[in-house]
Amino acid sequence: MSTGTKIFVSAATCVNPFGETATEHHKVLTAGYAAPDLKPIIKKLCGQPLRQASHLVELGVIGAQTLNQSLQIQGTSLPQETRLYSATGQGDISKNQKLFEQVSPPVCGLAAPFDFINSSANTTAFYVAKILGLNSRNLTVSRDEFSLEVALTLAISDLTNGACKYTLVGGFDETANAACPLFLKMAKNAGVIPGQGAGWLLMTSQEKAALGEINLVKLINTNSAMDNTDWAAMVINYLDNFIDSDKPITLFPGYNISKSESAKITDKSGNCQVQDYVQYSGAYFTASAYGISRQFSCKHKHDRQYLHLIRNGAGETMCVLFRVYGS
Amino acid sequence: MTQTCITGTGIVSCFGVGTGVIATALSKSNPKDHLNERRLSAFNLQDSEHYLVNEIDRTGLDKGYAGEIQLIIKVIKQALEQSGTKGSLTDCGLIIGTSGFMFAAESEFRLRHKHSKNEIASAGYGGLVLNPVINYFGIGGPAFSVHTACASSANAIILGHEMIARGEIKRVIVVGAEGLCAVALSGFQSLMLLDKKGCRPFDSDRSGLQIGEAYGAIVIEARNNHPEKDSKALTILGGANLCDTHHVTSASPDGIMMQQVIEQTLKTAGIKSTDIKFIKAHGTGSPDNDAAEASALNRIFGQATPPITVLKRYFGHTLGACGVVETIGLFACLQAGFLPATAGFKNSDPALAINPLAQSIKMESGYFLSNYFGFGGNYAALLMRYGSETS
Repeated sequence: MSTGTKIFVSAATCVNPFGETATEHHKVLTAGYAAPDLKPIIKKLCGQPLRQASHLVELGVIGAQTLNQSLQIQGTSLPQETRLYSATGQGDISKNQKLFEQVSPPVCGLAAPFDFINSSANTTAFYVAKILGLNSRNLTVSRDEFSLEVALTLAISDLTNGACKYTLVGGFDETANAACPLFLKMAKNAGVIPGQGAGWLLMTSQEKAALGEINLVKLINTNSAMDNTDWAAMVINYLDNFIDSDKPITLFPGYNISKSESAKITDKSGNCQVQDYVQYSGAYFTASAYGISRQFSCKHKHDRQYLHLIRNGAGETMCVLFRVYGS
Repeated sequence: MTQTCITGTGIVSCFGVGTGVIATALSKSNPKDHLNERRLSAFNLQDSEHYLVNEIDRTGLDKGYAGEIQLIIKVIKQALEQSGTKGSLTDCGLIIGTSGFMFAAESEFRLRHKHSKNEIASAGYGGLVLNPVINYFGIGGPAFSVHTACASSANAIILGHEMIARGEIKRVIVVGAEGLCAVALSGFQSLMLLDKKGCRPFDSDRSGLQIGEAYGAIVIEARNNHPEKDSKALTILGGANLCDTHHVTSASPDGIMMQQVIEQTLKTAGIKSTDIKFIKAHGTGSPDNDAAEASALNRIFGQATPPITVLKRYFGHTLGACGVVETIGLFACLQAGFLPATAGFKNSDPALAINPLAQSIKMESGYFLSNYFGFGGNYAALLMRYGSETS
């Protein structure tokens, strides 16, 4: 899951837990957060409601359509043959739970047709492709905390092998509910608020008008038995060959990287500062999609390297190294 | 692109464990006598007794997530053993293709309900199934699940093939997994997509799907790893996937996107339509889907359409698993020297101009096309060859 080839990001959008895409309006998420009705935003963005679409579909579509419109404003458009890779860690959990209750005792009734359709993990990707006019490869992938990184890896492989000119990569998840006890327990222990949102990146091997580049997506075989010092040493040692040590780097810790773990990384790396995006996104499996796309969608005065880190239940570490260009 | 090869298979289907039982069942001259289907009794759903399903034998398996994990481990073990893979799997990837892990979550939900535990089952999408399997085998390569409805495991095969062909990994285990669950059965029932008389692919009286469950695993490696097995090998030449955005649950009636995915597959594999010796159609038995697939096949192959077989009546529609399950089923038949008849097909539909095989025929080798079309407009096709290039 690694690549040394330079892959460029030519457009990006992030969606915060309130369905907002303009990053200047994104506020710090506070306890007691409740997911809002996204239908008014969809209606405004798409010109009409997405009839029977679920909340998860709406989250995905808000980001993708905003990215699409930003391209149109620039006088360009998304090529029809753009390959679409969607990542979701939990799928449509609210619809799944609703369906269990519809068909299980004591009700044993029929599944509501649109709940059933929405429960399919690829339904969001269908709506995104339909609204954006895409008809090429359209795959939805999942791997818990690493879902977005799986999608990035597949997209980068396509680009580096010349299978296509553009890939659109997105990650989206809705707020964890009672059907996600393990996730809720993790969030409580980590002191983070469960959130929701989406992030989309349009990637290409062409440098023209790029916002920045993705330099590395890599699984590092750390494990949960390692203490913070050993973990940080292994991560830094591995990344040593990829990071430009002469230039400052921003550590972008995922929702399950603790402050002490972040501190170990910054201690070992001479020119590193930490930036917290989880305060805006909240915690969800594909929150990295929000964090990474947020940096590409903001304006920056100077070039800057970013290192996104997230761990899974086995203690493995997934890193995404990327660079955002200054304007 | 580099060719890859299926070096091992493992399966638990309605016919039992392994491929031998499949070849035996499907080789019978009258396939109707050897179907392993029954009226649904596992769940208490409206009219459930009217629907045929293909169930596996779950004797001795745990309930809930644990049972699903046991089944996946079982088929992977079979596949690894057959491929001769021993030792560490640090250079091996794992891709699970399934419409979702709803069946596993529902099984856990029922287990907890039975034990009156006042808890809701975790609806964790894949990790609760995927992670234990990764840990059990010590998979060190890329590991993830693909969810593209009924094209899920076909797309997983395409991704696995590409990873190896691009030199990213040495071998990949691809799993197709789908258990019977009330949500899926009831969902298709509420969409009026189930045929009470069972799946009748391309038949004039067809009226819908027949749902099945199965778990299959294949090991994919670079073809040159096993040249000695060529005469009995299944080689993957390529595949393609596209998105038809006509409607979330139904295909473009003209089959134009199905045609495109098949044409792109032929192009990717570097094979002409006239080189195709036979076709494994998707053939769900739904009126619209079969009509669209027939249109696509007629436009590509015209009057020279090669023999077509459909496996949905044998295994049931195993949804996201059908890519792997039907590949294994077909492989078992080809190794036994025949192409199976299309169970459930009886009356030609003049509107389709497609007549799948009513009787099995001898088949020793050749290029073939395998189609998979799912909800959400996810279409995939695979181009494979059974036997050596020169045979």
